[in-house]
Amino acid sequence: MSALLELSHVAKRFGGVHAVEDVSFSVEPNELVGLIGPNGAGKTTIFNLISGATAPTTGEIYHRGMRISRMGSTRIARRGIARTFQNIRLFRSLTVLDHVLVAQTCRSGGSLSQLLPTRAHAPATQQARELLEIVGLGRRCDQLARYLPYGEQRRLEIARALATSPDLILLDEPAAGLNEAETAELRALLKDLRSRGHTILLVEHDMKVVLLVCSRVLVLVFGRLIACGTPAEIRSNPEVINAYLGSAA
Amino acid sequence: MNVYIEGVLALMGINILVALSTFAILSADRLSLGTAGFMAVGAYLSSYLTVQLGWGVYVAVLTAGLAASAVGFLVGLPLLRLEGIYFVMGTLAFGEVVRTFFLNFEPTGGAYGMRGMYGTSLGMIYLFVAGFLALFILHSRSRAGLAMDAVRDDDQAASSIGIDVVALRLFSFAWGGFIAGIAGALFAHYVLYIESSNFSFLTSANAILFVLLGGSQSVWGAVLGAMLFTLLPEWLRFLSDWRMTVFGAALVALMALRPEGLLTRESLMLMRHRLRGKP
Amino acid sequence: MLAQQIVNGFTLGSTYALIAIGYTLVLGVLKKLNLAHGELFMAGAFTGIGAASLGAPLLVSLLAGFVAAGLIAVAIERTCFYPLRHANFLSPMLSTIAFGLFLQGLATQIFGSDPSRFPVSGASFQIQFATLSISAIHIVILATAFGLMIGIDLLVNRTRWGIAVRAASDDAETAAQQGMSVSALTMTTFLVSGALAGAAGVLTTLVYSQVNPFIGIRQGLIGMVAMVIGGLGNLRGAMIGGLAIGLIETMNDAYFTAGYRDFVIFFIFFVFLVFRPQGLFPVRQER
Repeated sequence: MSALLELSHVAKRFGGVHAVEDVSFSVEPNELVGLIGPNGAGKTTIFNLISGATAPTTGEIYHRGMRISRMGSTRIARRGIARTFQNIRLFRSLTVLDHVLVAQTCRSGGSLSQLLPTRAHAPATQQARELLEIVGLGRRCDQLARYLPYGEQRRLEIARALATSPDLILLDEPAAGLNEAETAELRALLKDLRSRGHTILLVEHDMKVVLLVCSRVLVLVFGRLIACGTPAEIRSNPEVINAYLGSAA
Repeated sequence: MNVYIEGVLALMGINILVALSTFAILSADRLSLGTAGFMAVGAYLSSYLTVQLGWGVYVAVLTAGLAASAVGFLVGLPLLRLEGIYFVMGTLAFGEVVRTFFLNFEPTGGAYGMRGMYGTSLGMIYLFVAGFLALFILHSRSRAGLAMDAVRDDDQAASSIGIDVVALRLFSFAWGGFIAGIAGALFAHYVLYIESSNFSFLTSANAILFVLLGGSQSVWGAVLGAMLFTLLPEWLRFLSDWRMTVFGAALVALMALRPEGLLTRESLMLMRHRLRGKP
Repeated sequence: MLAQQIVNGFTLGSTYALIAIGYTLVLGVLKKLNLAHGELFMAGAFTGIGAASLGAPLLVSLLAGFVAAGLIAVAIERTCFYPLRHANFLSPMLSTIAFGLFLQGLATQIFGSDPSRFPVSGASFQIQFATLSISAIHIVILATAFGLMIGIDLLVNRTRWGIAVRAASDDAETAAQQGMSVSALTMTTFLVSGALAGAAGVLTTLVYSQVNPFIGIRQGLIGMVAMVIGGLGNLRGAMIGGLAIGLIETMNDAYFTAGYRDFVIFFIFFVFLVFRPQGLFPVRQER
């Protein structure tokens, strides 16, 4: 019985820099796993490795048992791994609804086979609107994405990722730049997604989000995993406190 | 219709096709400076088919277009995995290779050019224009059109939602090649004589300028740019000599102030709203 | 005979090298192509001819072309690159296409589209070594071009400006730390780049003594080919690339068919782009 995602002794080196070193962990279905660590610890690099934006120097990554280490981001996305980005990357000429519509084509084959259906494709559009309701953007469907307020842009990125019908979602600092109220909404959304059966791997600096929402936490420092456990275990782990948490928790 | 006006309209139709070809490739965020190369392939092949082999014009033009798109596919395969700058230079190289090839290729006349093509009609040219325009409009309203915009806005994010960026660019390039090939074929059969200097870097550069002027964000911009470039020198006779200088300077200024060109996406949306009587 | 071809090839190639260096400088600092670079060559050529026909001696004509092209290059930077520095990556290059056409049109209006000649004046002598004949013109071109190349090499490798240019090829902010604003650095880079192209223009008219407003197209392209063959971003590679193209062209004309000259060059260009885009001497990180 293979895990949904498995990293096995993954390392990523850029010249002399060891961004990630000997990292191994796995993610089971319907888990909400948090990945924390100081800046520069290599968290986004790990996301880039999993999503295929870059390939590991050594080690392997498996998705549902299949090796995806060198597959490339398009194929990995089509296999069902979706992500958001640390610095929001939306499509500036597309509306909110467009973002979801274009992401829906992910599972139904390449852009070549989707050549000429028009946007009046009712069932898919209906699904898109429903998805936007879930993230709370139902009223914004026809607005240009780039004019949305920051918090809503973050949620749109999540909606776009969800639209690809993924079995694993990578969220890169979804709470960054959000105020108290928005962060609370985010926590609620994450719990909602989990209750719908999604599997989420989350990079976050906001400890409240991580400790309140995640079922398991991984701690990355200088490219190495130094701890792995439940939020309670992590919070009281002395190594973690020294290396990272300090008085932050 | 007198011959002069017909000539201008024919040239305008061909320029529109050339602009559409450029637009197709530019929409995928790639700059092709090899439009002339595809035109040459289309022009010389269709001319050979009709003059030497006696084929019918329509079949010859379409075959030439397909050949040009096949060339586009083969050339695009290696070039599109490279970064944008290399792609620009590669298409430049391609255009020049084709031009210098036909300059020396005896079976199609070499340096003396090729003649003997019998004419197409204005109607035929605009049939192709209308056909391609319809396809572009359909595409822009489809999900494939959204995917194209997504790739142009952020190709990494597009890739992360499963869009095959390289395949999309390859297809756009071959499609642009097809249109340019047809444009070249129609051109050859309209002007009845072609030589390799008709298909120079200047030709490719002009194609880019059509789209730049009219607006690179929508197909109507490409059409407008081609129309303006064809008609303005006729309306403003005194510009004829200074055409290059004035247009060049005007475009540099336009790029600095309004790089999206005359018809932007937002101005088009505004126009649509006004036409429907909305505020 | 072969030795003669080699001398001719190097002479021609040295002008190509100058063009290629100019291209490379701009590409290194901005990561973009100035597609009007060939027109800088043309502008230098015409300015040189203009000065010479007003009676100026060779050195002054050379300087005139040098300076004029350099200044026009700065104008290109200010109008095509600076205003579009935050825009889409392709936009500045598109603008330079338009600027190139503007220059071509301007030259046509001023000088007419028939070929112009450089008024060859004064001493012309030949040195003979058996079958090898080297004329004064060869010497002038080789000396000037190689002099400029050595000068650029020193400038880039031994001066603070050069360090800034090379640093800017990695990261514009680091360059700013050298005490020079990014703006000033970019403008001076264009100035040098254009001046070199202009010098190449004047020198080439000495060899071919015929220019028209559209020669910039081909010369610019050849410069681009040399740049890619030498290794994109590598200055010394660009020099070698230029010399190589000059040799290839001369050999082609001597031993093959002159008509195929450009076909051979551009075909090689295409092959390099497809199979070895990093060129013969890829740029390494070891600055």
